[in-house]
Amino acid sequence: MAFPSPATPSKIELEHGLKVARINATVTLGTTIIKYAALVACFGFIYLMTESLAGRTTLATIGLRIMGNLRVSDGISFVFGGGGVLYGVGQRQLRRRSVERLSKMKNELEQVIDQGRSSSGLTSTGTTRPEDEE
Amino acid sequence: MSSAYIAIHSAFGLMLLWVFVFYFWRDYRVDAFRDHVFSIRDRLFLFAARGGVSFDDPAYTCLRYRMNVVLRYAHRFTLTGFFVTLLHPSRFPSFDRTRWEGALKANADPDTCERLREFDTILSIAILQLMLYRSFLLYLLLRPILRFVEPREVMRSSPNVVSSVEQVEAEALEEEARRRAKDGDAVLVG
Repeated sequence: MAFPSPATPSKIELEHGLKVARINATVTLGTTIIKYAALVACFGFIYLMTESLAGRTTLATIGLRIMGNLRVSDGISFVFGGGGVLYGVGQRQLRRRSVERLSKMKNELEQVIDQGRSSSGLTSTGTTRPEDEE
Repeated sequence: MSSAYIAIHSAFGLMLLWVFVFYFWRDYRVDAFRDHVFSIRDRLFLFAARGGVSFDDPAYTCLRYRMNVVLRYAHRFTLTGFFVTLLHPSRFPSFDRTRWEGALKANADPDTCERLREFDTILSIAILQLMLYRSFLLYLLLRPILRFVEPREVMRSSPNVVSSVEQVEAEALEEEARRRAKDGDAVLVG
């Protein structure tokens, strides 16, 4: 089914759209700066740490100290955290495979009833199409 | 415990937290939203398949089209966009909103109209929840509160929120219209 195109917007509508787009772009820029500034801060902490330790200790000493300080409870938390991430990523891949497998048949059956059935246009696994990514 | 160990531990933890908040969480929220909208779309299809509304009814095709566009551009629905439209509301009803309202008015059966409006409300609530829950901090803050608050009541009592959600949706619909015009109105089927 074809959809009619919107009528040409008036000058006031276009001006409002432009104003909103400008504000949106400014705020998005601000939030992006905050997002990456947080990452830069993490690296900054690592840099400051290495700088303060430079000349006083070696990488091997730090490694040995870390290993020496590592308690069983820390080890468990690392394994638990890492395991959780692996579990989540695995479940996500499993879900995407299931979506791909099940949606194909469902779409074909729906099309038997509704010949003009329209689609979202997402990928077969239900993810954003690469050309739609910002 | 040495200070080097604490520093490495903290830096590593902060980086993992960053990845979780800015990548995994947002990705998950968009996936959860799409799953929700797919379930709404399936219910709408079943409603039509059972004879509730014709598949050719403009109200049905319009609502399904809107759902498809929302599914496609879900990753662009952000809290920033929501607040910007909340602070700078458009005074002009969107083309697709006008078309949807017109299609509903043209539908003679009040029960069908009521059901279709219900689907529309559920879709709007889903969009609002996506925009709010995409922020992990906001999710932690709002989720417990929203367990005791009916989202429909929030939408009913706040026309500004409703119009902002509609405006965010309208922007996605306009983007889709631009792409369709560029691609020669190709309809995605399947």
